[in-house]
Amino acid sequence: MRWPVSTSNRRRFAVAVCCLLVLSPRAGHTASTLETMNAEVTGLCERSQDAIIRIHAEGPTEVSRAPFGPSHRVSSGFFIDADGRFVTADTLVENAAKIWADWHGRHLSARLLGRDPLTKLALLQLDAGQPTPHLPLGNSDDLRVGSMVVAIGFPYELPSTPVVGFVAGLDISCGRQIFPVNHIRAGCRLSPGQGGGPLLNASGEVVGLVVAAHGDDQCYSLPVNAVKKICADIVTHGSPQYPWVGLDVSEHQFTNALAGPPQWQVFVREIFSNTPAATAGFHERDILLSIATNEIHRSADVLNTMFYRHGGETLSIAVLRAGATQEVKIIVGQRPSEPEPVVRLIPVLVVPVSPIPSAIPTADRR
Amino acid sequence: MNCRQTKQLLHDFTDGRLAESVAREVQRHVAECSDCRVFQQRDRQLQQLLAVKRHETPGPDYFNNFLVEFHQRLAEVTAPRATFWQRLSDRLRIEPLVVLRSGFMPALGAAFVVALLLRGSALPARVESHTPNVAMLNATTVSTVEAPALLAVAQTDFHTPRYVLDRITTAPASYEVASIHF
Repeated sequence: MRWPVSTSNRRRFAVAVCCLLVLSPRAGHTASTLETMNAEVTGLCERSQDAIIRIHAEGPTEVSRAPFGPSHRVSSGFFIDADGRFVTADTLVENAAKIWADWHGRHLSARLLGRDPLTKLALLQLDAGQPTPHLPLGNSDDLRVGSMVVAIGFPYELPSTPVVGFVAGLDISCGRQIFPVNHIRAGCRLSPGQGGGPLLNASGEVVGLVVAAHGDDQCYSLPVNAVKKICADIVTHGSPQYPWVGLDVSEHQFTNALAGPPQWQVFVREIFSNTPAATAGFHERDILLSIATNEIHRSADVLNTMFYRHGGETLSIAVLRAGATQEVKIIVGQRPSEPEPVVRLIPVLVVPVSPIPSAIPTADRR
Repeated sequence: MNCRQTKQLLHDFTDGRLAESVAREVQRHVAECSDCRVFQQRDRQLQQLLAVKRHETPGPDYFNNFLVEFHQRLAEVTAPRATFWQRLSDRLRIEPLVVLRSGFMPALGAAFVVALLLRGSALPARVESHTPNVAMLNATTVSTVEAPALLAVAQTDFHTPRYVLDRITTAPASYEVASIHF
């Protein structure tokens, strides 16, 4: 085939190619993709419909509401196994005297197995008298920004409603709200009553538990890996278990001498006495480089890494001390039942930037 | 002499306050310029009118009613504005709060009895009633929604449930982590 040489021939050739592209079978490709997506979402809703339930709780009398009767709270939840165990938002069961669920047109009483106010998760069991349909639990580590997700729940008194969105971010905080582990921020416009519902990926697997909304069209979900860990703790120990090392750490931003982008590092501010860290040999101003196999750059990395650890586990923590890398072995303990606040916040006015990475100003240590 | 200079001097010219040579210049220009002539005529008419008004004095009734009218207007401006209920009762020509005037305690007792009756009638429907509430469906911007009590009464769903979805209201990125204990 010879390429058209003259300008007019080139123009005709371009027009012909465009016509071929428009009239080719691929012109219907977009429509078929949408149809496929439509079928997938419809099928996903149908498959998960039976495993997502509306849950009611009767709370204490609220004097601020007239008439002065017990409060009635409603939210969504979903089964995680065939034994009738299901999870929902902790806000529903807080101080609840009676909990029941709508399932197959019946009001069935539910039993609270355990709750975790830190992650806003509650694990309950429904006395269904038969195996319950349940949703497959996926892996939230596979989620990426831009992944498509579907949140399903019961808004107000309406039937279960899917809301399609995309993962917008994995955040450790939202304003003054600090999460104990990275939460999935998805662009889903949810309504009251949909709290405690599942966040599903495109394969229909649970990747999160909807715990909060922010703004008009953002929702935060606890990652399903954290849901698995908390549920396992509740089933095994009766309550969620959190690790305890005994360090007070803070993050610090510095600029590279080679004028690279600003970087962050986490350093030890204080070592609490009578803790695993006190006997492991940590020093103040040690810079944390990694915990186990996870690199540490920000405070969020510490929270995300430590959330999934268990008491009694041996951890290898790499620190930078006096310019040399050292490895500290530590046996993780159990966090005291009445811990101090995990995270302390300060308002952001000016981001402090120091010129040298190894020199941490004394004023920043407190 | 041009028009602008002439118009500036016309008042003094009419009053005869100009020097003779300047007055001649002004008079020459006015004789030649029709615009300035019109301007001069208007100026004369104005001066004649002022001469008449200068001798006009208000009648005795004006000063007799002056103070009365002044105090009336002052009272209108400084008087407290009528409340919504006062204006409503004035418009409907009814006595406000007749019930309370006849006795506060009977009114309170009646309200209590009505509340008890309404609560008793709604109790059996608390668990079983799941009637969609229009007020709830419209309220999409709050996390834990409860319809106003009066609306709930009208729809016989007195115990409006709270629909759970926690809401984070703080603005993002306004805080940073100072320290972590782990």
